Amino acid sequence: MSQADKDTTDFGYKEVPKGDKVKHVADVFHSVAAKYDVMNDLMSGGVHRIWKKLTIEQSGARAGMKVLDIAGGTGDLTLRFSRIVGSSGRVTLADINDSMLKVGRDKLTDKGAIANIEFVQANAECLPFPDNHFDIITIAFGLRNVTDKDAALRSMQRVLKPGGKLMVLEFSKTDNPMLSSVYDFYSFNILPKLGQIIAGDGDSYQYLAESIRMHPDQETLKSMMIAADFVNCKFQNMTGGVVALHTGIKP
Amino acid sequence: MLQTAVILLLEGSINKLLQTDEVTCQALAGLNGRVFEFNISDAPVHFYLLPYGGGIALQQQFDASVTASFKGSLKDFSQLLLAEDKATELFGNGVLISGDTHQAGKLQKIIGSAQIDWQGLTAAVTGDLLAHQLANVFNAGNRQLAITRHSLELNIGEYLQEEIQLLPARAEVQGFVADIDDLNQDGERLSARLDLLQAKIQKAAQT
Repeated sequence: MSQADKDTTDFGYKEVPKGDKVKHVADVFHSVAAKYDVMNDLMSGGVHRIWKKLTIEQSGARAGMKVLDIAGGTGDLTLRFSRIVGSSGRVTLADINDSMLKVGRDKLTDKGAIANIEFVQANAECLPFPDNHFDIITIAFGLRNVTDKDAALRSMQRVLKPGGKLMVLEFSKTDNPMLSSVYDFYSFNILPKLGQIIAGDGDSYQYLAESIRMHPDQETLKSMMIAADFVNCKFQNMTGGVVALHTGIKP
Repeated sequence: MLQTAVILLLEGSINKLLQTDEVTCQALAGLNGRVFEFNISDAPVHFYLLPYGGGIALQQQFDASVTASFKGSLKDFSQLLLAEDKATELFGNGVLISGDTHQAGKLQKIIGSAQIDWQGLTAAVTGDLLAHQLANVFNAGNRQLAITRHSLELNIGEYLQEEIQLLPARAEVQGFVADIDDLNQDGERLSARLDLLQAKIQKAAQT
């Protein structure tokens, strides 16, 4: 049975009614928004900056392009894209969660990045943009929180220009047993405690660890992208597969 | 990954320095959207520099055409960094520029006129008073170093030329070189006249 045919969906290790996942995920991000950047740096030891930098470099972004950063959160990718596309380009930061959007907007305003950025509260499954509109779409650490990932990929395909590039940066599966066991221990024993101490919310970080395990592995996500009519789909593992960068082109 | 980490660190450090110089930050905004490629020929260093208002972004990869490329050896680029007159070093000494040289010149001018507020940066760690004193000590040390270097150059030159007479004086060498140039030019003129004469003789013999 495909994801679209079921009435329930995963929320971490729990099965919840499809309609409820958005609310559950929203609660998680409302709770952690204020400490999101600090937690990212702490959890990954700053390595998330390298993953994002590699994504930017492989995007092929240049001056004048239109870029959509879905689940853009606190705007790390948006900030870098806005500098590359310049005044003749445009970056749209879309996030379903208004708390994250507010934190992102404040952060980017403080950094002086406002002229070529717009902020849109949007659900990735039904993006409120015209067809064939963007040159590049990125979704970094967001796809696993989407209820219907197939619908989201189809929606991204629709708003992307022919020849445009989709980039999905997401936690994935390691194929190294040693790394896997260390990673599991870290995710389920240390991460929730860090979340409790720093963000005052251990449950949200328990969900983070569970949602990563429930997210499709590299090959499955690649086949989902192909099914959504992307071509030249490929993925690049980073940090031993802890994170993978999937790319696909709209034909 | 490691190279990206190094690039990130470098980018962050450069931007921190640039943020102490508001004029440079504003000037960089004028180059927003341009991409400059740097290629160091004798080291595995190749990167792209993307200026924006407030700093620069460094990338290892850029999949489109660049505004201008700079190519040179590590020595050429290090001379450029240390030179007081950066325009001369950039355009006259080994750094090869291709692409839009007007924009490359703009970037060079911005780099050349950047004034990093080292005292301000130190003050953020040590406090104003100590930073000012450290800056005074540093500036006095720099001045003394320049005087010592100049004096050493004069003394070594004098020792080599006057004391042990190993090298001729500069004016003597310059005169000798000028004589060689004159002789060379005279030789070329003579050769040209002989060629002309030979051509006239051949023409007369044919008629």
